Amino acid sequence: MKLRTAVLALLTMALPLAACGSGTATNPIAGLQRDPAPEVGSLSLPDASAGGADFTFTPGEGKYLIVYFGYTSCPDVCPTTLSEVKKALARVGEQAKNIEVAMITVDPNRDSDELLTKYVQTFVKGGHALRTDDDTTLQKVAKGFGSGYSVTTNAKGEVEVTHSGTLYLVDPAGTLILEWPFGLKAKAIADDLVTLFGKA
Amino acid sequence: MNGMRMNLTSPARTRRVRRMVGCTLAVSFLSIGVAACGSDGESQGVKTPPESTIGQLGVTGQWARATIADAKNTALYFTVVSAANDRLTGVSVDASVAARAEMHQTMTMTSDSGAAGGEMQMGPVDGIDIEANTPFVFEPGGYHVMLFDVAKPLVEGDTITVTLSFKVHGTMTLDVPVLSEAP
Repeated sequence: MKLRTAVLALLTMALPLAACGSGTATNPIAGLQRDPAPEVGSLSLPDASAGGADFTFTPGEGKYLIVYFGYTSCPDVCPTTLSEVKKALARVGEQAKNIEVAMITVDPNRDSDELLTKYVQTFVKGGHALRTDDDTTLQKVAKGFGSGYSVTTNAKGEVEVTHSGTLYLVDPAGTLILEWPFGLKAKAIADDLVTLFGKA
Repeated sequence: MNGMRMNLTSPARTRRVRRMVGCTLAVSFLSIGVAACGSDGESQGVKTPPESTIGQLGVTGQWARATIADAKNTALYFTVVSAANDRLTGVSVDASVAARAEMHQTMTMTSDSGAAGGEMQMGPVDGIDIEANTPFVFEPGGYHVMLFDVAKPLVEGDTITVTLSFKVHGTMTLDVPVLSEAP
């Protein structure tokens, strides 16, 4: 009887925590981890925001890199996601200086170096704009991340683009350690980053 | 293609809409600036325009996303509630705003790579059935109105005029505030 009372008391205490959204008492990682974690450190793309210099996916000691595949004509998914990244970095605070962001265009025909750079840097100061006209290179990078895309023109002459809505997090050594699916909020992303920096 | 759409309007979406409805109703009926659920203070200070109505049909929570850098396309969102069944058959804007407006749905295709999320794709929709007393929510990552080729950049603080055409209730002219991110 006493045990039952204790259990009930615990349940009652726990209920308000679960009432609206998820509790913050424990902090499990919101991002998904693939097994084995892909190695992307050997891949590279030209960085349009740095005059086309070679950009490798190895952020280096103490740094992390968030990678996103998108395009600037994207009216819904890309701005929604990059807004959350922007808000997440603001939440992370001081450590945000150790997080780099790179957007890779899957639509290089319409995204100029300049437009892509302005686009990503609207959200993240110093964000990298990765763009190549060589589809073989782009495909190789996308495959490395497990990301997919297609750009086609329909019967009406409109360009149709598909792309993965995922954000990828790369660790200092170039290992893709986390994936944040579309729809995850800034708080969850920021919490994951804070947890990672706490472990480092 | 159709099969995929059917999948997407299944329970997951219904649940999300219901959750949204809860918050939307809380905002519109209690007239408080911050929603009860899921808010972490980021939406404070955003002025929500008053509900627009024609007969027993109302539209709330409308906003258009500010254009980014020199990008030419953007999207707008709102929620429709009607006391009677209806169908949203068209959305239009003046040429001084954008070349054209289209209702679109963002869909997630199933992934075959083992990655976290499938590829996302947008597709136009001809119209949207509005079920009586069931709010229909246009929101990021779901249904949205796409504005193609804006005449000039949409900047936070601007208001654009959008015309919605309903089969039963007729035409509604809506003032839509431009915001840089979701309210």
